[in-house]
Amino acid sequence: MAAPSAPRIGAPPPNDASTRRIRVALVGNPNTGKSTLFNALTGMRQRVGNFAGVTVERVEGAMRGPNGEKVTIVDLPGCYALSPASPDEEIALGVMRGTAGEPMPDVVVVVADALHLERNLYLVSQVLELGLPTVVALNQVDAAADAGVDVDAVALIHELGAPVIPTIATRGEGLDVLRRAMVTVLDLPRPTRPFTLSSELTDAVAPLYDTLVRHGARPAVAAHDALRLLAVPTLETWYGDSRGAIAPMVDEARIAVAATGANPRSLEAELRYGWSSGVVARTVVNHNEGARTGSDRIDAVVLHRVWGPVLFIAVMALVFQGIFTWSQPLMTGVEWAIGQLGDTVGSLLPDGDLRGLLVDGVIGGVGSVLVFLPQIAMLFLFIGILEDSGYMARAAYLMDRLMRRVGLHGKSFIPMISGFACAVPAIMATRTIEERKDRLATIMVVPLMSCSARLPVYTLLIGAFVPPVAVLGGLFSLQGVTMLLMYLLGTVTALAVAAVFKRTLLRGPVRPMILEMPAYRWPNLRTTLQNVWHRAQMFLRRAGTVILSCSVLLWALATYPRTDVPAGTTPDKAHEIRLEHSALGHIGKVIEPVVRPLGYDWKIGVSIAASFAAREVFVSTMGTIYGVGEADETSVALRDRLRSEVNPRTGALRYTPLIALGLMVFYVYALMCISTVAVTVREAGGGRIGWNWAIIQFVYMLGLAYFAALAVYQGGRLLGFQ
Amino acid sequence: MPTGAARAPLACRLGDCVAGASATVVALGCGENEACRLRELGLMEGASINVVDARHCMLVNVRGSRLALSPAITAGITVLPTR
Repeated sequence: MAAPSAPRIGAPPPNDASTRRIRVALVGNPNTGKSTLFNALTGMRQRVGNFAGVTVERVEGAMRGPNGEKVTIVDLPGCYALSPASPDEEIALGVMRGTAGEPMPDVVVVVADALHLERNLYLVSQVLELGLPTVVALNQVDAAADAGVDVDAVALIHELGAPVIPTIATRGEGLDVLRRAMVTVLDLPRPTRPFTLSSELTDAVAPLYDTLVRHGARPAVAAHDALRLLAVPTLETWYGDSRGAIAPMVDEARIAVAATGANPRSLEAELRYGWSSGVVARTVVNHNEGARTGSDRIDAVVLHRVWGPVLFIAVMALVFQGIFTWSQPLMTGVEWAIGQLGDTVGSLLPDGDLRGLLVDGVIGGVGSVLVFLPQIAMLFLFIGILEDSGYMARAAYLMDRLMRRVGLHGKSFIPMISGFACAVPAIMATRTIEERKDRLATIMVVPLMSCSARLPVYTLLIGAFVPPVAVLGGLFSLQGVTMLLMYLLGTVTALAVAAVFKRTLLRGPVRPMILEMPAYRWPNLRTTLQNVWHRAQMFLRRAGTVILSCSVLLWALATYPRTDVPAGTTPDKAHEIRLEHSALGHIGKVIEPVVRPLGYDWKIGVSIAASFAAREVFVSTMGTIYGVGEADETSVALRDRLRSEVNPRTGALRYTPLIALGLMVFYVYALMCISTVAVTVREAGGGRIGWNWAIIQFVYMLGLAYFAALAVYQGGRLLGFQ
Repeated sequence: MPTGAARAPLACRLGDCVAGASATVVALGCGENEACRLRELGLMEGASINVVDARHCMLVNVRGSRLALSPAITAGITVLPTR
């Protein structure tokens, strides 16, 4: 059954082409250079948001057509076929069908990889069959040529019945022709199914086709779906209430197709690949068929039984080094700029609540978010490079065995590693995990990976209470080993907790791995940097609103109610007195009985309470309490004060190495980041479901933190380590 | 059959193939979702595949692309070795 052809479409050219608006959907397999092409077409004229009702990212860009037409391009998530295996793929299909809460596109551009044309033509054939004006961007023709693969684009045009534009997106080649084709395609006949069904098969699926048309599908979509539904296990949600009527017709169609001798489950794949292999045979010449490719040679090392893991550790160490060390100058610069801004605003305003609100609450609150930005950007830069180069897929392959032992997918490894920098983008990176339970389990444990915000706490306490002595034959310092132990503690616990989740709340088998290993290629710097910019924008927009609100609230709690201090009191002491009698101080006194079994007093209690919005607030709050002014984790004065602090009742030292160890363990486990909570809510499903998971995450981590710190302190005391 | 003549290869699980082997896919006996995804990627009944690596996860080349398949998948795919 051939899809019925439609009459010529396209509105009559307007008198002024510049007023014409065209919506284009950009679709294609993963690893085809689609994002690079999108960025090359739209430049910086992009907006990032979400598709309606889902957490799937929606990237839209604008460009001008050859005659000034206003062209809007929506970059859809990569998909191998028009069958959703993940939320990303489902939204791509929804847009193509007009069921994603926005109008159907006027034009579809399918980005096909010239080096892997046979597989890419599967998706091309599906898009053609939908009957929308379609242009095929045959991308990466340079890589294909380098591999000895020549594609006859002209012959391909005749085979597909649609414009085929060779492009090299990384160099901007072919883009002008592509831009023109996006407009002129509207004046061409609409594409149709590129292969034909026998009369037997046409008759077998006809009742299903008729049912789909009766339930509102366009004829072209009904013809496409009638084939596809034979292969898929379940009907997608976009059929809505019609699923009850369609499902039995699908079963009947399968029986009818089987009666013709065909396998209904594999019929669509046989037809499409039968067609695509014929097209490739007529349009592609591979001069190096069977020869070893560059990717083969690299994989021989990267996936080597011994060298593969060694190289992997080296790459991860490099990523770590970059995130922790190379971003420091930028972070210092941001911190300095925030400080200058605060000083400037403070000098312009008289003393009072408004000054305190703006300087401490707003600028201080926003600053605590902005200071992370270089680290976030560095993390996404590395992730982008690893993904674009093709290495990320190899890393998931290498780690799959380890991850499956705890019930996770190999793809979970990358978000977990990213959590060492910051849990916010790490949780966002879980979108690549197709199975919802695997994705949720990963989200639940990512915050256990010791993020950069914990570093100030570790640095302060280790600096104050762990002596700088050499250990392990003089190769390492005790301080360094202690730091490493904190990181290992979080990592091991994350794997253990993931195993628990996958055996309880998120019980279920780990989805078997089916992962394409893309060909290696040089990452496109422009595309990578644009992606980094998009991620930075999203981070600022989402985390900044929440943490700004909490910072203002914390400022208010620390400021009110006001208390008079005796005349002659030093400014730092006066600040400590006001803090003790503020709402936050009262909260600390209320908390004190709860934290006393851990060895803490109200001061640490207040600092812990204050740092629930952001961990590093612990250090600055302790500095304030102990009157050392603007303290950071390297403040010698603060370390000395902590070491010398005496309990006025007993005369003994208030803080000991045991208490410091327990406090670090508390910070390893506790979820003390409002930004992470906000992102968890969104990525876990949003709304009530998202909040439920975020609450579970917060509660289990707080419980883990409390009882682990309790075990350390009380256990240490029992063992005589007071 | 004359003495010493080669026997026709027997069908086996893909998971039993070694690195360097070539085979034709006979049947996909893994889960429905997985079978659907494999067919979309070109690993379908009648397709020719080459085994690149045969460790925990198997690497195979099919239709010019390289796929990593977990043991749960390869255990359910029946192939006819051709080399």
